[in-house]
Amino acid sequence: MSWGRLRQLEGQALRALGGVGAWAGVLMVVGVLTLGLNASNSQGKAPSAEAVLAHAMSVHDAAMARDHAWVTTRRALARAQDLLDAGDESASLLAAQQALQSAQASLNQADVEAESWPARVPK
Amino acid sequence: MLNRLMIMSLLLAAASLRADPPSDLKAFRAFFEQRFANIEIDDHRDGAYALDAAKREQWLSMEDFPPYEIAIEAGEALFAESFADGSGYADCFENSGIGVKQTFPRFDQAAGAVLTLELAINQCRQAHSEAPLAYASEAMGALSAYMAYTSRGETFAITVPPEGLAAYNAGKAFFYARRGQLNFSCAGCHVTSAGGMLRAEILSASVGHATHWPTYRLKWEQVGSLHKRFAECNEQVGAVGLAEQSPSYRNLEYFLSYMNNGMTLNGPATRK
Repeated sequence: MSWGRLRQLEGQALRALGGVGAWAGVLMVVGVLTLGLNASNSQGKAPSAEAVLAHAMSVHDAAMARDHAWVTTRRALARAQDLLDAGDESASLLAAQQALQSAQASLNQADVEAESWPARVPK
Repeated sequence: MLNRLMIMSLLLAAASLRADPPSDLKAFRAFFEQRFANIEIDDHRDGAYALDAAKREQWLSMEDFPPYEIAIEAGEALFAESFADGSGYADCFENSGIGVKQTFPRFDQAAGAVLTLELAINQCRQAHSEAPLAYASEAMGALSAYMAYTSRGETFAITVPPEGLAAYNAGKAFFYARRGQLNFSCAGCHVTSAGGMLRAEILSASVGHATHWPTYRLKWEQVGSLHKRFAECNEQVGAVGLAEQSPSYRNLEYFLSYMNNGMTLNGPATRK
């Protein structure tokens, strides 16, 4: 499975769920990513740690721009970068995947909260 | 069922966005008056110490020799110093900068953004060819502590002109939106759960949250700003904290201060 196809599936999953099942959406994204990466591995086309890290950073930046970035993402990104610098590709890939999942969840939170915060205002 | 929920959610969103600041303030105060029927609304300026007698007693004994006093004295000396061009802070503020804190933050029409006291201090410096102070610096803490001290006893009088409504609403959205991996909002702890316990700590009420800044926090071992506390709170719930004086935190301070309108300023203060 190509990385582009993976992103397409991820987008479809999010659109299918809309803002209703936010956390279910996050879980589905994680599932799609995991299955996709496994499938990619079996075909010998695993995305590089560098590519996943770059993607995770861009999603994290998008969450930052909306004041919704997470500390866990920041930590996982730093860990992935350190491991990459140290030449440990597989460990870096794992950390980058964790960062990506966390960043996607934070961005999903931004989407959900943009709609749901008014319900909490005292009336 | 799903459609009904979505329609209800949209109606609620529309109603909240339509609400004007005075209506927000009225509902906000009414919420806390109902939640804490035995506590005068103005007493919430003491935070959790208004909610627990034993903690209040400990806190009051600390106030015999308040740790922020040094900052006030240092701030007074800094405030009196002249800039290289012969002017000073007194030339930048109405009433020579004495007793003005209750009108900050305000909406700066020219800049189209919220102007906090700390930002105004740096604007003053830059207007007179002085380098701006770092927002987390001791000097900034001392200057703002002194200026807050001169406003003790004044009541918050924050205004939201039509041009400032977008900033106010952005601050309001920030306050009520959940963030971080723990999925907490400011309101989740300090409105919905105010008076409850978070581990060994009592959650203070948001009403009164803006009256006592800057504050000497024992864990910081120095006087720090409300924005520093915002960032700390955000990080505690797993959200990346923002920089002091970032537009989002200025908007949040604007909203929160408006929600404290009519309350007595009592800064600087001491907190754990």
